Amino acid sequence: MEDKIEQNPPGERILLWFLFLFSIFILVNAFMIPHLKNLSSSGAFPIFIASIMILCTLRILWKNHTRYSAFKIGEEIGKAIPLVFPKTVAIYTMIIILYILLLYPLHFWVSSSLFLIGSFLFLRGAKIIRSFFITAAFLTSIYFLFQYLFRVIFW
Amino acid sequence: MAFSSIKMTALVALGTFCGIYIGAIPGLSVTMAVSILISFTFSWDVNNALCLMGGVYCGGVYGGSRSAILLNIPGAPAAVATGFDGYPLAKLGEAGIAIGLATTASVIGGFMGIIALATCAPIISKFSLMFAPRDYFLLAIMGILLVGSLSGESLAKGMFAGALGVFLSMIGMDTFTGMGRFTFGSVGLMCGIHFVAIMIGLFGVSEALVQIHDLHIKPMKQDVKKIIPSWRLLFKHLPLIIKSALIGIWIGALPGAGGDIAALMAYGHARRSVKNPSRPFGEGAYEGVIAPETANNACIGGDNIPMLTLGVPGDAVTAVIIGALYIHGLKPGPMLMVDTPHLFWFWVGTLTLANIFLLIFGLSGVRIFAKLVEIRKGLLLPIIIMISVVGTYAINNSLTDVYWMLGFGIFGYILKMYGFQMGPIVLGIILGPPHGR
Repeated sequence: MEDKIEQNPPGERILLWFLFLFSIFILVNAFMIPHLKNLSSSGAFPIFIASIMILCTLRILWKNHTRYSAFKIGEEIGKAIPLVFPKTVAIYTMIIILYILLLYPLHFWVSSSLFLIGSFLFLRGAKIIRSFFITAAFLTSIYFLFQYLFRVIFW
Repeated sequence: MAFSSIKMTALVALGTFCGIYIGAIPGLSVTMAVSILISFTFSWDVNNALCLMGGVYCGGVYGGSRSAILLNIPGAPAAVATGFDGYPLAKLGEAGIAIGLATTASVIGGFMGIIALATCAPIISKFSLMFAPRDYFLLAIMGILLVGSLSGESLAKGMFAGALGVFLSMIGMDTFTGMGRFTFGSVGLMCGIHFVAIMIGLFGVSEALVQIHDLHIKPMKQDVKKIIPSWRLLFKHLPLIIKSALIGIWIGALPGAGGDIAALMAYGHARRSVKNPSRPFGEGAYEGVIAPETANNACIGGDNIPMLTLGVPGDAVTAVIIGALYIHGLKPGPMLMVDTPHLFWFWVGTLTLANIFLLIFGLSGVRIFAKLVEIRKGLLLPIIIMISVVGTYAINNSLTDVYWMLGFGIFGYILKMYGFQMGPIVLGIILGPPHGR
């Protein structure tokens, strides 16, 4: 009977190759730190750390290479995206990015109100009217709590 | 001492109360709460900040048991073992008594842990004063080796995460030579990336994104009746409580082992040593709730021994707490008892006070609490994100930190999905600078 090879989650190989290339980038940059003369110089420790990162990614890639070989790259990307970013997560990540990008132009209170109401509705935490009430109550408490207790200066 | 000021006492009470709820609500963790809290208490007086964080820490470790008993979803890794018998007890209609036993056992365990901390830490601290620079380096190496215990399934992934954390701590100006490292010509990066922004991203945003996968899971409702356990029941199990507390203290004092291991070991010990349990283990034995709950709270005192005297954290939570202490100008390690002995005793006092409040809050308001832990994730997650944003902004009043937080949140989420743990990254960030020196 043929042994079934256990597969790692699709996309892991791509992530590891990305991390490997990133580690090489760090290593190259570590070598570019000036005055690399002895173990006490600024670049010595970064070189050591980048080497560990490279060795670790290579170790994982080598250890699991038989498991990864079950996938073709194109097929792997196709399977990885719905696994890591299923529709709800992908949309909600975009909502969070949009919220943070709008913080400066719209200011904290407007962007946070829109974010909270939109999120409650999208994640089905509450219906429209309840979402408005919860947002108002939460932002009011945030205002008093953080303005007076934690002394955060909102923009 | 925290006892002498009404404001500080109130802060410990508030912290403990919030910690119980944070620990109990699945999706919120003590690590996440303390990471966010560091940024808010940034500008506070060190004593007030320690009061709030000590309360959240103690309350959070205990709070995980609530959801383990009521929903069979441990609020924290340390509460995994509590659910083995706690949830069957709840299904038998004894959720109240399970919570009562968990509370009293946690408080007794907590006090025993604090006694161990107060007696052992000064002795270890005196010994560690004899350390030479090479010993400090070895100590830092030992800290990094903790990555093994925080790695999860793969040691290589844990080591990568630890090294990544060290790399992140190196970005910016080298404090000894003044040389810029990994700044790519950016003036903004000369100060480095604030580690609190990274921590909030890794523990707040990434965890919220992971939780979205389980949006559809609906918790089961439980009926909570009698809560306070009888004296007879407590005295009957006192030997088990003492033994479990000693296990918790011992495991906590070992660098790299935290409340989750202590609770599982105490549970295993109870299974082996209790001859006539109230019910078979796994079917609602009182002993199966008492042992892990005593051990995981006793572990707080144990965890603090290497954390405060050697600067070596026991787990992800203590790694974050070390970061918090650094922020407030304290240097956990051999010199803590020499430079700031009063703050060590202040911390011991805060933990003691937090345990007293744990008993009060743990045995009251459980019925309302049972409703609150059923809060929908659709309501909870946006609030976590928003608090993470406010918390990160509060560090330097800078939106750049918020962008970093978001970036690390998404990056941490992807890493988590492929089995990388966040604990080693934080450990690397915290222990990286001593290595470099």
